[in-house]
Amino acid sequence: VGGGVAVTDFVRPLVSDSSLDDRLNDALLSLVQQALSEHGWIRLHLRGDSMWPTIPAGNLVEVERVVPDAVRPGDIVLSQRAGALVAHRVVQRARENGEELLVTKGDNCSSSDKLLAPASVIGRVSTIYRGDDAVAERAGRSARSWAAFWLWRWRIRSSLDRAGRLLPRGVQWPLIRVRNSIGACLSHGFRLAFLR
Amino acid sequence: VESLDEKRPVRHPQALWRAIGDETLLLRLDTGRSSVLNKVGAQVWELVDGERKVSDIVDAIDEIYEVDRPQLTKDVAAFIQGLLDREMISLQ
Repeated sequence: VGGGVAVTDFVRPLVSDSSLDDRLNDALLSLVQQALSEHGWIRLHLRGDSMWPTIPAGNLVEVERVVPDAVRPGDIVLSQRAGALVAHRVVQRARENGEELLVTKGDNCSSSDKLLAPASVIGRVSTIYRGDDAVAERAGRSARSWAAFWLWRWRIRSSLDRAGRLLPRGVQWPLIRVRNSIGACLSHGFRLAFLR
Repeated sequence: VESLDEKRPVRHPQALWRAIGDETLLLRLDTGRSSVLNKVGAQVWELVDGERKVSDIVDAIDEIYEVDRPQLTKDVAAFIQGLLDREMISLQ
């Protein structure tokens, strides 16, 4: 799963028992929870490209403890999905059967994840390390603009998707092309403007 | 390798660990580096307490396994060096 937390084997032979991976993920989750509880923060390497270009594969991030009510759209939150730890961006708060839930999505993913209960949020990414530079994820104009960009990109694409579903099947494809082109152009332009 | 014998390895204060059956997952709080120790590595990790010398650890492992002593000494030293390289321990 993209945006997952990387674990580097170094003295163990290759895993032959697939159930061990679940146990490894459980142990990692337990350690992360312990660190956030006792220290309030932990740094983790993320693997996968689902958060590219915000978090390239292998990047180090700092995760901070967060109370569920403090999570806002634009935040990148750590949660457990399909047994693995995943860091994806909150793009929307939603309600389902009276319960408030979070819509999360990898910046590089075309679709959102399964809805997430705020109480299932383990932590929030506070800093992204690019080489020796620490980039505050949640502070500063650049970081806020970056988060806003991904939120608006999500909103525009969601609106186009909803509009597309109202059209006859035969004329949906031009809208899909417009949707994909807007996403690609905005991503490319914004990356040039904000990333070194 | 021989110079490690009289050293006392101690776990780094930023190292967190969790047993997974016979194995152990290590995670550095501040660097995000992680490692999985196999059964013997996990037993050595349990013995790394800042009190025991590397030679004491070799003695303890030697009591558990019937292995060639010079080879065991070499393997434990290499393992300790690996933990040092990954900044999971320091030497006193």
